[in-house]
Amino acid sequence: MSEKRSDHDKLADRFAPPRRFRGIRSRVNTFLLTAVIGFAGLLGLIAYKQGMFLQHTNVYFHAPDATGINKGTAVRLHGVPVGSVRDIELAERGVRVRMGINSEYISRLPRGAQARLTREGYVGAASIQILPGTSTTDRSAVAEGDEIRFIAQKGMADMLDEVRQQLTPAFAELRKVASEMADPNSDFRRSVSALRTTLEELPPATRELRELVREADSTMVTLGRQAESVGSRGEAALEAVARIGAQASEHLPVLAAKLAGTLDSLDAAAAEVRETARANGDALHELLTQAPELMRGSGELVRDTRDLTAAARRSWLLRDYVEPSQMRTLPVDSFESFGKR
Amino acid sequence: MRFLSFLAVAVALGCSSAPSKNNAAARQDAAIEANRRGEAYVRHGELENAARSYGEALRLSQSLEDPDGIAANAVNLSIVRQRQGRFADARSSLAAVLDQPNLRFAPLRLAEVSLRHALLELDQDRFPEAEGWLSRSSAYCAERCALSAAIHNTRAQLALRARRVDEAAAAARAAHDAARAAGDPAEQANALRLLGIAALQGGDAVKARAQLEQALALDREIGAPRKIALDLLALGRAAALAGERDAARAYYARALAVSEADRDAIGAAQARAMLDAATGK
Repeated sequence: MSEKRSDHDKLADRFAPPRRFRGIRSRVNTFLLTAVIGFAGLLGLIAYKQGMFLQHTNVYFHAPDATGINKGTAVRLHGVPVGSVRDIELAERGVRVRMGINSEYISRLPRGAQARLTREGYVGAASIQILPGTSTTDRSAVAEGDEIRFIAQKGMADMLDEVRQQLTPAFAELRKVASEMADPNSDFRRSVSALRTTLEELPPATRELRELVREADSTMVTLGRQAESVGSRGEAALEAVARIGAQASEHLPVLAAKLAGTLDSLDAAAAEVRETARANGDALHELLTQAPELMRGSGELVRDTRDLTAAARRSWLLRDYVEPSQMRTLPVDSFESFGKR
Repeated sequence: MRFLSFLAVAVALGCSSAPSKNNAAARQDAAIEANRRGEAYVRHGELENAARSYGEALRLSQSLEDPDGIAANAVNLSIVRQRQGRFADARSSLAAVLDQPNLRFAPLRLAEVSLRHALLELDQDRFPEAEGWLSRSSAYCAERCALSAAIHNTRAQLALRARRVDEAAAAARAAHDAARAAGDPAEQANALRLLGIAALQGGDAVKARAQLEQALALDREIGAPRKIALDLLALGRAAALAGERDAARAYYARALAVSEADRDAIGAAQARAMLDAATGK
């Protein structure tokens, strides 16, 4: 018996778990329970962060294009996240977007509010910005299922087109003016030619005037001498005349000299004007010669810019952000003729 | 050697360019260019130049048998011609769509063209014809389309002209709902203005003022001077109906200032006549 007992003890000792594994089951269970509780807590935290425990109100808007709007896109009011985009569905004229707005903030969203798509910087994440409207719009709070207006952003193509449309008439005017200036038969060129001719004729005219004054001077001197000779033989009255003639002959050369000096100054000024005009004329001529070339260059530049813009719009970097060119229809206004009657 | 081959292929790919456009694409681009030019001229009030550009765009679209381009430019040309008072030309431009049974135009485009026809008839006081075109437009539009609000507003105008005030108010209310759902503030303002005018005809000055104030706020937001002047004139009439003569005169004076600043001779003459009548001149 004691031998059997001894064998049993031996077997028990052989198959008994080692002392270090004693209570392992409860430890494993504790570990698994902790892991499950931790995982559930993590799920709960994520759900809380995603706002699943918050009550949301569905508000809608229509947009012509859903580019940049995705499910989960944040909705912000004054920069504060107040909800997110829940659903996007195709509608008659674009898309109908459903936003889930945190009911806590719903009282701050009036019916006259407007939504628009914004980005944080040029490459930042997109979000829907809510503009609360003005004092003149409907100030009552939105309710479940209400629709607010969406303000579509202008695309880069629109902005480029506007700039181009505003610049094109200016370039056309500039080209017209330059071609007119370059035309030898234009009023401007004829005026410049006439001015130049006038300036060139000014020095000979001045010389002729000077000659005339000199001749007048000599005539007066001769006349004075003759009056003096006549006065010596004439009566007293004629002597007085002779004296007057002599005085006149004394004063006239001084006047004539002064006049000659003035004419010299005029001549110098005219020469200077002519020189300046010639220099300016040359510069103007140079400019006029280059103007058509410049305008052609400008035209080329405009065409190149247009091509570059078109190429850039087709490039992978921009094509997703640029709207394709298409025909535009003026808005059909039901009040087109109202008030004219 | 392998690296050099790879480099050569890469350089060749880098130097390659997109295939040049064919003639049809170039003509399409030219048509779009002319269309945009016309739009710019309309914005600057140069109607004759706008008509020339839209005519060119229409011709290019016709040469390509582009239904959408034809319809868009025909509608634009008809709007410009109507603003010039050239109704026959406006109608003939719409014929580019209506007289083309072999081309397949989208129902919305046909609704647009029919509505434009109705507005032309309305402008010339040809009410039965306007009703006919409006029915066609409504049929093309089906239950609801982007033009629903404009169609309802035109129907409201026709009812107002026939002194059917209740019918006009109902149509304007339908237009308001449709415009609000479609996010179309211009037609929403038109609907509110018509509701205000209908209330005026019904003798309810308080209701009229409430509707017209809302229309004015929307028109200011959009930036439509002619509509602002119309709102102010109607507000003046509402004030006069309520016996507030000074307020009425103030509204008429504001309408006159807006029309003169907008160089709208017809609007200014209308405002001046109402101001003179209010001041007893």
